[in-house]
Amino acid sequence: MAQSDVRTGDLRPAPFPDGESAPYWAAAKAHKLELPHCAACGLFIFPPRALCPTCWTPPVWSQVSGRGTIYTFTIMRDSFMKGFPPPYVVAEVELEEQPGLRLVTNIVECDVGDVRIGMPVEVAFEDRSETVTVPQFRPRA
Amino acid sequence: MDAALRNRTAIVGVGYTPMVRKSEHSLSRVAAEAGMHAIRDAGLKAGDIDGYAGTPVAQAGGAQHWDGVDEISGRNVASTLGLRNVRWLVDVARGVVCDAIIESVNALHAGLCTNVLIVRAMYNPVGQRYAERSARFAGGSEQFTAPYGQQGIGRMAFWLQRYMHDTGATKQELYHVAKTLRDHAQLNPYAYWHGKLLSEEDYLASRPIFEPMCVYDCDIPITGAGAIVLTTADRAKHLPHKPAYISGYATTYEPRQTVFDRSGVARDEVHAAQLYDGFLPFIWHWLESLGFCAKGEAHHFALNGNIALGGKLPVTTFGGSQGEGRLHGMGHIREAAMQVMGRAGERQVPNLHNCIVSIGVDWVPGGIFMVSAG
Repeated sequence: MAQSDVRTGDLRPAPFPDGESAPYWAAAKAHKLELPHCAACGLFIFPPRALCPTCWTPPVWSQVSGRGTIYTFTIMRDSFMKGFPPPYVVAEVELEEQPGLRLVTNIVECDVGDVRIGMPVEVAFEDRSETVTVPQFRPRA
Repeated sequence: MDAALRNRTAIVGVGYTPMVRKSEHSLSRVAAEAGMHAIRDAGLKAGDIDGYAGTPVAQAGGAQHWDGVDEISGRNVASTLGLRNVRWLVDVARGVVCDAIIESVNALHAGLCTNVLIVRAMYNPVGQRYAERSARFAGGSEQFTAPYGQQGIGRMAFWLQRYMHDTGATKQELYHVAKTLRDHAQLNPYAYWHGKLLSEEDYLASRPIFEPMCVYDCDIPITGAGAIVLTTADRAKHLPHKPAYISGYATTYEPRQTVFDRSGVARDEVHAAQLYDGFLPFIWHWLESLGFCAKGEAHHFALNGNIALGGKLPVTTFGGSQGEGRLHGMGHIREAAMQVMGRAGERQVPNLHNCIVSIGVDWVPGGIFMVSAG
């Protein structure tokens, strides 16, 4: 996947799927948020790992609600990485499925000054090219 | 088992170079200079060095990984300094300097060599900012962060934002940490910020980077190097300086109690702490995780001069990476050795027996050392 995005001029790094993560990005492409889940003990595992750390069962991919709250965040005011004009928000969102189950994301459709810890958010998919879609989060009511 | 390596090895020489923002010298020269000073300081000659350990890999965003230019291999140092008798050499590929020191302690104890040179040299790229980077793809754990513009400093900002939320800590309180380190740097002639104090106004008005992190919450990228010579306890006794024994070590993956168990040193027997400050809030983090204060209390503990020289627990007495420059922990271990040797001059903590050193932080490979008078 993820050939060069020269055509779109998008300078943001494209995720490079590997053996453990490919289903995550394939699901994102279909606008679904799926995470590795242990059918034996019910644990969601993220970032993806080959085995459930409690029972060593290989996890299966399972769709999650996409709802969560902002656990912490930062407002980037400088620019070290090409393709990210400041200011922008990077946040860690804790999903409602499991305490400590957190994803790094931007907060979109929201002024940077309005972002707060505890803010309810939901997944929103950003299509960056024909091959790359990334899950993002936006405020929810 | 815990006591197996206690006081079996000691730091017997230290070397360093001036810390400059950008240098016209190659890193090969900078590293060799620090190594040369450390060997001489230990009262040894090139031929006495039979071990070498380094952590060569450049970590600047746009690193080229050219040996001798922006990173430095053991082979490069050994050939520049003519270390012909080296029979044990490792370059640790990841992390900061900790694993190089740990490997050296183990190798000396195993009898694989007798005098080890350890060098850490840092290069601040000319013509670009240290943290600047661009990549078409992000793989491994970065595939879930870099596509969102997240970087190492952002991880620290995550921690600080949440810490301030949970504990009520403020940037005014964090200024007290910044001031303490800057004040300590005034007593360190090698420090980049030697001769320049930091006011509360300047700190609070400084440029935001990843809010709530500002530019003075970040250490300063420099070109410079530090080096130590480590030897066995029996040899150390016959060298010029009072030995600074490694009484215990632990990696940051291991439980926090490990370094205390291995060294046999209790928290109230620690007289100074060289806590890592690559980002300033690390100081709060380390004070709590090492158990010098309760969880959520470090922002209070670090007030009222408690962590300054003369205070309850003097912290990072040479000014740290914030005051001296970014050596990724080599400055911290060097300062612990100088404090234990009694050579810290104006910075000397009186009657110091044990000095703890923390390098890195929980979420990156790092280490904790206890350096003791034996």
